[in-house]
Amino acid sequence: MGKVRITFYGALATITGEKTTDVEASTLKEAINVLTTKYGEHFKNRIYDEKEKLRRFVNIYVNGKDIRFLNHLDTELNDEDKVSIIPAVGGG
Amino acid sequence: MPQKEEWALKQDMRIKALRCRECGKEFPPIKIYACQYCFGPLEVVYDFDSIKLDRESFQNRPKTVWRYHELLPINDSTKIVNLGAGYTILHKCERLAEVLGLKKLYVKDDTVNPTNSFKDRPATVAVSKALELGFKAVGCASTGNLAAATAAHAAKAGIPCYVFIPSDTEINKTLQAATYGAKIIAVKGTYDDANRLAAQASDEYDLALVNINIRPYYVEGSKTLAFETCEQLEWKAPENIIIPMGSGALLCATWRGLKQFECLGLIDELKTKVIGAQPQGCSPIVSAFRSNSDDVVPIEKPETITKSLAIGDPGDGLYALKTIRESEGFAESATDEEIIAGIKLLAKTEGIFSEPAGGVTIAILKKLVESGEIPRDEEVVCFVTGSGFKSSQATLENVSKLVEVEPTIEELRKILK
Repeated sequence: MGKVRITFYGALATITGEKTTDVEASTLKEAINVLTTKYGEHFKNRIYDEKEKLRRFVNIYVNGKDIRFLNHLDTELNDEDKVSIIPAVGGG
Repeated sequence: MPQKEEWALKQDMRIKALRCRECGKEFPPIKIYACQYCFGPLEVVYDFDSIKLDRESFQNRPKTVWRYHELLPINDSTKIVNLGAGYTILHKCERLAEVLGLKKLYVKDDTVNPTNSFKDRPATVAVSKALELGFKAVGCASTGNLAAATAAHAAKAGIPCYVFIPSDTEINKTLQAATYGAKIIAVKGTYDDANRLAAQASDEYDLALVNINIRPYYVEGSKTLAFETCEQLEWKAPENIIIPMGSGALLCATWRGLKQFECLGLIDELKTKVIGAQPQGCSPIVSAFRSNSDDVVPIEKPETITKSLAIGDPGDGLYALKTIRESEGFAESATDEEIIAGIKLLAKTEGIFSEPAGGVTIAILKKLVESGEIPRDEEVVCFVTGSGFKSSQATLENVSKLVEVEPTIEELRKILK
């Protein structure tokens, strides 16, 4: 369980209405549940598809590291971790 | 003499919408770059009924990408920043064809663009669009070639340019971009790290990052490679095209260009097989193709001499995979050794000096001809997308050492025996 700072980017920040927030959670999945309680279903629908899978163009980084190189949504969170949720990174 | 063209300055109806490539939702063609619902990438939708083009339309037009202006997403011709990108030579490669035992082989030589890579095509479109949208500064995330292309077009436009590159980017590309006056942000990490930082920056600064927040328009520039190839083959699409893949965006844009020419009746029914080429040290799209998977698994640390294709998390990976399958093509990879051999083979048989990405293309051409996947009687076009001068480290280590000679005819005779 850790107190972590979440930062939202792009169109996601428009939905949350704020750029950053602090949550307490032990995994990323848990953090997203907390955020869904806070921001409502339309937040969740932007993050997950109909099958509750992380949407392909939602990129999440814990302390700058892509969660696909960590433990995906089961990535553990510790005090003072920084989580960035960046939709539509594009590139190339 | 070619006529100077001033086309529709009014908001014409040619560009209908931006459509999400994931969920299909449409948005007005304004300053947005991702679907507001699922964050999928957007693509420009044209109203083909309002576009009247036939083969004769292109006579006497400028020999740049702007000869296809009806199919590019710019409304205001006065905003165009043009360094002359495009309409590069399609070489008929008889010597290389003979070595490989092929009947008809062509190389589309994009090393001769204004900044010596194909990236001038998307850069001219994206920087023009950035001006049209009212941006006062531009930039990009880049493995090097786009950095130089964006910087040069920004210089021509007289606006600042910020390029995010991995700190191990080839020095020639970095120097080129810096000489055009760009602010170089050398990110300690991979291309994907630089790209992520650029995406975060686009939130905080009023910057048109051409391959991030201008991306739907930017990718349109690359499809001119397909248009030109068809036009230069006397209005037909080739049987096979081999395309290097980093993000996979060029491959998708090429297919889109071919489809648009087919839709306009400029070419007959499309039967081209699209072949995607990656270096073995960074081949997530090839891996997905080989394992018949629908999931392109990113690579954390690419390891290849082909820096321009070292994109571990390819933005268009899945779309490239779908395109390859739809066209009944292939995806293949080449080792560093094969890539160097490819560079040398192209240089020695055809006089074209390519960076490693072109070596990847030639190496894979050789492999697929030898394996029979490209039949020897089929026509092949290879895209060679960047000049060898841009990444000379990779090749210089592999050419014969200089033999010094005293300036006397006797000494010369000794070495030319």
